[in-house]
Amino acid sequence: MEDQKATDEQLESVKPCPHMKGLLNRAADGTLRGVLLSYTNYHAAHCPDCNKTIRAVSAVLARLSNLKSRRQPQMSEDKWQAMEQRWQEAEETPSTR
Amino acid sequence: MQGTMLGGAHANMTAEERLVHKRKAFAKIAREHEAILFRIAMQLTRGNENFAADIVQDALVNGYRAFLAGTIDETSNLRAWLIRTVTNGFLHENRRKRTGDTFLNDDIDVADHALRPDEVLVQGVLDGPLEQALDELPEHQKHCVLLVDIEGMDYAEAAATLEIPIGTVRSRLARARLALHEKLVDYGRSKGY
Repeated sequence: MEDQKATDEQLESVKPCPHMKGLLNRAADGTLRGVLLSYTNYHAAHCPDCNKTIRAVSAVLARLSNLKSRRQPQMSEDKWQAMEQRWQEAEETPSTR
Repeated sequence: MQGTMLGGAHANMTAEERLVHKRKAFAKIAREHEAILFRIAMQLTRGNENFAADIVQDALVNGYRAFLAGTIDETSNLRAWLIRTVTNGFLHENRRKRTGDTFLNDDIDVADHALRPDEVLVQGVLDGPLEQALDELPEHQKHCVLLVDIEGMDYAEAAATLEIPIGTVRSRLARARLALHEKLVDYGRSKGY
């Protein structure tokens, strides 16, 4: 159900009120608090475009957070050994930075 | 702080033993940060694993030099320092490529060695349309998205990592997320969704 909603949001372009863009983004990612959050929610409840924007940004954020869980890359042991060799070389040639 | 540590528990160590101790301490730090550094490097290099590993390796060698020199230690914001070094390392290599300087660059070719979007999709590990949309963002916006929306940093830590004001992180994120949405809408329309 949520996935379907997220997909639906992606079908439509959004045109939020220009002065609301920042607040809508922060409402979507959960960093907005207090009176600003109340104001933003009130505005979005009465403004279809801003309402759509919050939902669209939330859908984007959900997909972005999935990227991390899909990727747990590791360097190969060969790369680690090569790096440890370079660390030993660094000990012999102190930084000039 | 570091001097205090070495002067306390490790006062009886020889210089060589201290070096081994430092190397082990940094190896632990490197292992702890490996995944995040590699993920960010993979994103920046569009899934080019060798290029990403080289960038991470360079960052960790530079990090070790700084660790030995006392520029950074366990009490520093090491994660931010290392991520910044990975990002700068990528930008440096990319710039060198664009300016046609091929020194040491024979096996580091972003465009030629990066996986194509269809290859990424075949691997089945990425969200192809989203990856493509991310790639099309301006670099400065993409870095904010990588750190905050993918890696889960808060605004303040991302601002410290990128050495930009927190308000700039906010505004770049706002623009980037809306741009990503629009690109995904375009992609969906192109596929007839």
